[in-house]
Amino acid sequence: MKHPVRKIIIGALLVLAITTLVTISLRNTPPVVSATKTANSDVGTGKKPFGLDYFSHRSIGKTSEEVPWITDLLIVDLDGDGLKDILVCDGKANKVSWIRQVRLGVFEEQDIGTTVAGPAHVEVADLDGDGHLDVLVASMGVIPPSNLKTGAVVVLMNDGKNHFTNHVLLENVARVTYVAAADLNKDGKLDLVVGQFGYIEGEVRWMENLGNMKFKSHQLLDLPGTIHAPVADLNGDGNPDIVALVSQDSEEVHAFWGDGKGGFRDRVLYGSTNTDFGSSGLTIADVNKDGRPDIVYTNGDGFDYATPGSRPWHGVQWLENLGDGKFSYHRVGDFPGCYSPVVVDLDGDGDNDIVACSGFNDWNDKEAVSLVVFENDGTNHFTARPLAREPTHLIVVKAADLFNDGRIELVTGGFAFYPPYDRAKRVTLWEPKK
Amino acid sequence: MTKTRRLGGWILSGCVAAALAVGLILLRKDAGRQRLADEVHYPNLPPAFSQALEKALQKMRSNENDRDAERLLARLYQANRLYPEARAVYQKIGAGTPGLGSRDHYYLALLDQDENDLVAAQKELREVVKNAPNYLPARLALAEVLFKTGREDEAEKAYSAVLAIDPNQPQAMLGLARLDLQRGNDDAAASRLEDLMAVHSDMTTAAALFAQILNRRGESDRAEAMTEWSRQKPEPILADPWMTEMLADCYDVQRLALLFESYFKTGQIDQAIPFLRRVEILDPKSPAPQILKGWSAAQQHDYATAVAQYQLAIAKGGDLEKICPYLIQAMITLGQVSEAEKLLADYYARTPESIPVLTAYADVAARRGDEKLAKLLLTKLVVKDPYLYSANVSLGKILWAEGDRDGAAKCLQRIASVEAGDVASRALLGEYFLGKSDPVSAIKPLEQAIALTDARAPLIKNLKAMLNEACLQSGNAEEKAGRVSAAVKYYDKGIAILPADSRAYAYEADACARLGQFGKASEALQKMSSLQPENPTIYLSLGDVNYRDGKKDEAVRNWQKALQLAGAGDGDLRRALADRLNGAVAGQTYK
Repeated sequence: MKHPVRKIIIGALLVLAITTLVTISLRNTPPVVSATKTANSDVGTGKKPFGLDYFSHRSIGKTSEEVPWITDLLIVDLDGDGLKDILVCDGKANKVSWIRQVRLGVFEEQDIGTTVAGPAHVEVADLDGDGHLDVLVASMGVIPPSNLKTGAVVVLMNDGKNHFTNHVLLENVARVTYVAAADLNKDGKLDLVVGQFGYIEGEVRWMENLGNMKFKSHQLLDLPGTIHAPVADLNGDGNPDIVALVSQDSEEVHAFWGDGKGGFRDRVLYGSTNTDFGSSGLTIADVNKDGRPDIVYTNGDGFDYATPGSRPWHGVQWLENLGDGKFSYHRVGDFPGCYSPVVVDLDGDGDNDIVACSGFNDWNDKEAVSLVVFENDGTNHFTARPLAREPTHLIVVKAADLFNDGRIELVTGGFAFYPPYDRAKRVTLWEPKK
Repeated sequence: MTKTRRLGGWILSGCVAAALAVGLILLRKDAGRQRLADEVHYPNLPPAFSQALEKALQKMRSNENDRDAERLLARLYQANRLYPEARAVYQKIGAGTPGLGSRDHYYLALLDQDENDLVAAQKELREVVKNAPNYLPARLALAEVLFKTGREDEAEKAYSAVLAIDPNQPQAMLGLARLDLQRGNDDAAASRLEDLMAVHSDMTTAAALFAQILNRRGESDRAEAMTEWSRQKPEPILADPWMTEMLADCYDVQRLALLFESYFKTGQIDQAIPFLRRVEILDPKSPAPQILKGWSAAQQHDYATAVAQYQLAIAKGGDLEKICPYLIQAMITLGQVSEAEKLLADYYARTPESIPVLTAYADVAARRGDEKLAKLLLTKLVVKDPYLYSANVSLGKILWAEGDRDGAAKCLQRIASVEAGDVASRALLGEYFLGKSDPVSAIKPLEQAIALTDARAPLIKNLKAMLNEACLQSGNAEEKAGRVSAAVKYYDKGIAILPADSRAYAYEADACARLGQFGKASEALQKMSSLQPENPTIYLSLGDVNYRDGKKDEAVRNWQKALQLAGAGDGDLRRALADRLNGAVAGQTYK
């Protein structure tokens, strides 16, 4: 009897011990970007751990003494020379400019087209089918909150000789914050999706391409606050769908399920009931590499009258696409003032990480983080790794292998809405240290 | 073997015991961390919070089983947005007896909602609804959460349950209207919104939504009225006594300031003011209360108070660039322009590159009639920020008045290029280009100005006259250059803009005749004759066009009519007509 009893006790202890250890190991709150957090150590994996010394950074493009108001960036090989360039929306200069990679690692900036008032978003597409990438620009008219009908959609037509001419496709509408091209009704012509933030009035529309640069508008949603509205076939039925992130008082992610003929059905996929949630950016990417496009979005908007800054609930989340139009919400982590989610395998370990920046952190605190990667542990659990504390006021980050060497570089844009301004920079290139 | 097995057994037991000990230590440590964070310092919260925290902790320590003390602590953490700490305390309450109550579940739901975990929020809210079925804020929150997670049918039931308790509850009515809209049922949504507006005219969100449906239906007048209505202050914030009770423990200045703003914007001043007072007490050094007080005073047209408060905010180290425009605006409204100028001279000396200071200083200088200073400041301003609206307008005016129209035009062009809705700049640009004999450049801004102007506005007449002039002059220039087809397009445009101007028909008829487009020429002359039915020359020309078009009978009829209308003294015309009617028609006749 002695042995069986001992075995039972030992077994019980074993179960208890394992349960305890498992409990401890599983107990984890969403990762918070801590000012004191240091780099993780991937001892033995041979990969450089993420941390504040992971990247070296330098300003590229024009230098300016002005407080920067960069609203968007796009990495693209605009002139097809095999080197990736950067398109810049400059809300201060009311211009779209092209930071051209003239030689590997050498960048020169030039304005393209003429004035675009309050440019907020930039995309490229060969809209006229002449084989050259044209530049689509969402124009807010005025960037600070306004209900004036100052919005426009402008295309900078590319003549193939690096010369761009402004062509207005839509104007005198509520402030436009997003535009992208896609063949939404599958007639072989590129249509447009347009998000209009507005203020009290705003909307999402798609513009049917009638040919000869003529477009007909179809309203999809009549709520203000749209930030991004990208296109993807979310349910795998072969028809393009539209996903819109609508902030303002709604704080909702809408899916417009397309029938491939220009018909769309609107559904709220997810939304926050916290009216101060601060939705700030959305991207579509296959986070878990299951073949279905997922939705990743940030909340970190901190515009306020007296007290601009972050909120404790700011951060990143993703909506996992379960198929059949169903999505499951997952919080990725907290990050004050969070903007511009980018899904990218930053360290080349085979899983997707999520990079984001902060436009509205407490910049009086020198420890406040401005750039972070949420590192994927391979099972789609993410840990926040701060990458930088300055430049501050980063409202947009984009990632790409800029130098064709298999490593991912980042480019960030600064939008300094409130002081201190001394560490704000216009456009910054981030290169992984060797 | 037996010894080895026994030894192995002891080693195994030892390992398990060690693991257990470590586990228990960690568990204990973990439990301690979850329970309290009494050593933690919160630098972003004022000392009053630390005192309240210490008091709450002491109360809880004095009686381990005092659930009310735990609740006090949990709510103190939650009110100050220390959510992990609050959760830990709620967890402890939940683990004890009798466990979480309805309010605890509600507060947990608020945490979940703030952090966007709507699945968890839903679970908590269902608990509240089960145990406190008449607490409407919880029912509404549940309906909203269901709507926001795409569970339409359940949301509909939850909204309907609210209406079963309060048949005119505005948020529930609005929620159901949104569901109708999402299902593509505009009629049902419109009907619901109409009912809602009838009982809650202050629901401006509903008005905005209704306006958009009306627009889609083509009811533009009513839509416009609804849009105007929706631009009033936002609807009142729903009363939530449990939330209010929790916020009584808030020491978080940012949260308090936001609460003040929210209530102030909706016009709920009685609810707004206590938050502002609290900010002032908690952080006497912060300029935020003065900024908010200044702002709210200005909203209520109490500009003297606004000026005093803004000045106090600056004295307390508030951001000069941010406060300056509001301060100066309030001073100007009070008529204190010279005081404002003195103040700005000082600010300008301190921050000569500041755009807000430059803008305000230039504005005040212009108001004081000091055009030299205003011009200097505005010129500096547009160099720094070329697309500032007010700076370009002011500089443009000064330059225009000085006769430097080229300089003024640059300002106008900058305004027009960034302000898609500005009529004045476009109208002046049109005038400028017409004055410069560049009618082609005048057309676009004038077209834009007309598109932006209400058809009933008095200005529209002048704009159309200018645009018509620009079109006719452009057509004449094209004809002169031998591009007759291009000229016709301009004349067409002129006719479309100002159909009552007979010159356009005359030019078009002449140009069309030159192109051999006799039908179109005849049409233009007929329209012209309807404007000037007694003008014999038109009928002469009409006859000529008919003749060249091979319509000789019509030609004769029109010549005869011209002859009837020609005055006895108009010898030349009568002779020309007589020649035509007598058949003396040659190729040269019509040139």
